Amino acid sequence: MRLRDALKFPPIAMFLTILILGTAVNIYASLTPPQSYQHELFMLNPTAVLTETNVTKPAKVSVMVMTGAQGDYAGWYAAIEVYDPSGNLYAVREGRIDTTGSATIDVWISRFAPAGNYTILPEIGPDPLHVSIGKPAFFNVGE
Amino acid sequence: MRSVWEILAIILTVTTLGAILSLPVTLPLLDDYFTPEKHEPNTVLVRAYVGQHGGFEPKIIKLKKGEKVRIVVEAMDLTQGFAVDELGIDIKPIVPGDLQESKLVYYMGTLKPPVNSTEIVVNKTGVFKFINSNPAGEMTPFQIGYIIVEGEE
Repeated sequence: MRLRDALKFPPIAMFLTILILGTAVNIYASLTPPQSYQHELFMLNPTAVLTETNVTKPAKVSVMVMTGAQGDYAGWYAAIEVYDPSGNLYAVREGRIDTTGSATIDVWISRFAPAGNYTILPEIGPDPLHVSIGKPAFFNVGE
Repeated sequence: MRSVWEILAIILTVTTLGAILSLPVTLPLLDDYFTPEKHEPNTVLVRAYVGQHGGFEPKIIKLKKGEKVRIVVEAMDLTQGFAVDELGIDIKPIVPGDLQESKLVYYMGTLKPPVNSTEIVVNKTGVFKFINSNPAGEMTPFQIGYIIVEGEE
């Protein structure tokens, strides 16, 4: 049996195909190391700053999400998670960090929303899957 | 004329097939029914997951000062942990599937406290950070949430 015939034998052909594909994937993976955001995320320290901490519903609450880190984070993903007085998720609003290093995100508190103490969690990251969560901020909603 | 045994066999086959075919509907209902917070008042179920926007769900737990609460943690994908340094809580390892076994215990009627749970009473107001204390990937340090304890100072 010649070598060419042996290579055409299905089990050997399949084995060789898997071997070649596996080698190619490994070479690609070793040449492109995974991008790690961990160090940058540690430095971000997202902070939520509110223009008003006492509002009467219905109301629009403006939240400035900013990073305490030095560097250019323009275009990075920013978001706020708003929790109602019972601790249930009320709203998630997203935005982008602008050239001033902050993002202003508005959230609308409807007239049907429960009154009480609301909590805001600020998030910043390169994308929605890699975010650093900052300390909560609070505001009060009155009737 | 069919014998009694034949009729019995047909009934058994139809019943078994019916039970198997209805599993997609009944299993989620059972799963929902045997969730700990349905049986114990003041139980908070926290789901921890690493994949796709990993983190805790919910990220905010609101408590009242002096309120007794059981926190049950369920790992949704990888083995994880749940720790609140300031309150001296550290539950680990939390293995995926543990809570399902707990639910089985509920089903059997023994009503034992679920695994991976802790009962807390916080007697001070404040914001306490909880973290994943069992490293499970690059994003573990960012897997956090907060316990907010409200009440009179």
